Amino acid sequence: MGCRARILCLGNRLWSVDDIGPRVFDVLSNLELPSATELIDGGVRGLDLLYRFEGVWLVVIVDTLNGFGDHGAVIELTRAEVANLCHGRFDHVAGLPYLMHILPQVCDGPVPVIRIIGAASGSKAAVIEAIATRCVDYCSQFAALAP
Amino acid sequence: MAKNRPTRYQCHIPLNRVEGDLEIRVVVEDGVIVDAWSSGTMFRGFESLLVGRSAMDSLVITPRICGICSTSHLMAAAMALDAVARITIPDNAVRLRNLALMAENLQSDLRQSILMYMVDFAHACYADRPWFEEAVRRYAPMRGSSVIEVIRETKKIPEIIAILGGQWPHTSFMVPGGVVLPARAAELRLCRFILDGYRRWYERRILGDVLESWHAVTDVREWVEQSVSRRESELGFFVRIALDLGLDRIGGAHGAFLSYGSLPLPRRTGIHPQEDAAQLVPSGFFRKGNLEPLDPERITEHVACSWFKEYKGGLHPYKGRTQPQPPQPGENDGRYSWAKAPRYGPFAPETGPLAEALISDQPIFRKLVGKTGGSAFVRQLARLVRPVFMIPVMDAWLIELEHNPEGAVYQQPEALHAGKGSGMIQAARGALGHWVRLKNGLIDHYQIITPTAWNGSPRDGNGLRGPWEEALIGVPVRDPAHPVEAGHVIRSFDPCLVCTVHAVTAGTQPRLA
Repeated sequence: MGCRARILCLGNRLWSVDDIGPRVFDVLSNLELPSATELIDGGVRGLDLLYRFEGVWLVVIVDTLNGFGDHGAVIELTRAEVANLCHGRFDHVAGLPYLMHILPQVCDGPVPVIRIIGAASGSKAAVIEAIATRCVDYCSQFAALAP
Repeated sequence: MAKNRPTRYQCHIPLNRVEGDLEIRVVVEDGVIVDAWSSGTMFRGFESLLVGRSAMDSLVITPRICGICSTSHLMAAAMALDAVARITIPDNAVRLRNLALMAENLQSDLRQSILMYMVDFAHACYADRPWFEEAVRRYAPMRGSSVIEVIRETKKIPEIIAILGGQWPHTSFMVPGGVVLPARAAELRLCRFILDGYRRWYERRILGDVLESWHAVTDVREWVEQSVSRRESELGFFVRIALDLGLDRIGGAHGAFLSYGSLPLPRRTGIHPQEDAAQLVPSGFFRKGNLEPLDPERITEHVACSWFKEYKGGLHPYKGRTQPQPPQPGENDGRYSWAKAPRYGPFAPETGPLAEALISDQPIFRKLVGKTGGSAFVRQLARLVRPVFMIPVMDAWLIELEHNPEGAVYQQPEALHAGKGSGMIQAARGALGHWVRLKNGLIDHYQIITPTAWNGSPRDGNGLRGPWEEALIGVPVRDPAHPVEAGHVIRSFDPCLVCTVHAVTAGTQPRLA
């Protein structure tokens, strides 16, 4: 069976302001993932991540999400919510909003269901664990729904 | 120009769409730039990071310098260690390394051209030009037809690196002595399939003709107008816009050009660019119509205007030092950049595809530079047509690999214990060099000079401006609020591009040039 769901952890583990994705990746690496789920350390690869949205039905993105809620809370956003933060920006720090904005136009094949989960910089280990658990739950639910 | 603006004033040009942070400060007098300073505003310190580590660590760490040209850094790092080991790598290893580097450059050249350069032609300041509506249709950020197509097509070509090197970006498949694994027949066929698709797309949309047709060009404007497909291609549209805007009359730098040479030829190959050539892209120094052999000993780095601990004159990279000395608040001692100032003898040459074209004696570029002394137009043109020369060679080397599947890809070197070596290549943006010295198996000294360090350097101890500082002199600025003319000049040097996915932050404001 091929990969149906993908967990894409984004960020830079050497920069604490942007390390939520790698921290969650480390937790997930030690968990048993639902069948047909792939875990990827996406780093800070920009447009080179586009391939990671092709050939699967669900992509759960884990990233640092600052300014969206209380510190210590698990934040969840839709692709459209993140894409709307783009504001026409496509420079060096355009980031995930640019990727989410452009994805429907450049994705070969259907755009998968996308969930963006994260927390603010500096979140404690319990928050990281909670994000990892939610990632697994999403992929499990999706695996159950998939034909 | 706005009313009541003084005839002489100074302004800062924040240049986005570059990897790393860059600020340009210019003095404008009577609507023309009369002086310029280029400031790299970020210290990275990779060279210091490497000291004391195992020699092999450079193969993993230096590709992280850049997400766009990570293969270039790997190639330079591996070649430096080859030199330390004094080893000649097998022919198939040469081919596999070269193919990865060439695939990376194919992606970079087209992304830079369409996503980073042409986008400025869709700026509202050109609304009165006859080509403006078409430029918006093609190049509007996020939705232009050419923008979308280039993102789709250029994401495919690095698959060749992933197939041959295990991943993209930041592969470490090149090692001293060769590469870590051979390519299987099915993988080579897949690479040829990807390359063929890229070639057909490049011919149809970028060039407007088959690759071979470019070799007959003697006059660019005439060549473009000879058929509808050429005229409507991205190259044709670029030529029409650039000449209309006079980009062929602005942006010349010092008229000096440098290539380290690149893509070493296998000992047995059907590719013979020139008699006795050792590399596909030759090395050399070109100035005032004269081509000289490259003398690596003439390369130095100056820090007179850089935020590093001062030393007199310039130092060769084997002796260079990278000791940061940050500016203090209120300090104004003439230093203004985190970039050093590389020099070739007393000269500040530019590097990149145009330098490669001149040094490999491509007649059309010798003619264009001889006529205008270099310009933003000819610099960008050289980048747009570089794939013409790369694609057929890539295909030939893939076929040679298919014909010799059992050929060695690795020659065991002796232990890397002590010694020094350099890896000097042409990355997408030009001359890239790594200089390493080992002691007791550890890195004792590491210096890197990137293409953008050459092109975007500050002044040296003699007050000589860096190439793009010089290229800005004489550039007209119609509207200081939107100095697109300066952007055309700086971007023609290709100062890197967007490559990161950072943290998502609510309420972020755009920073647009």
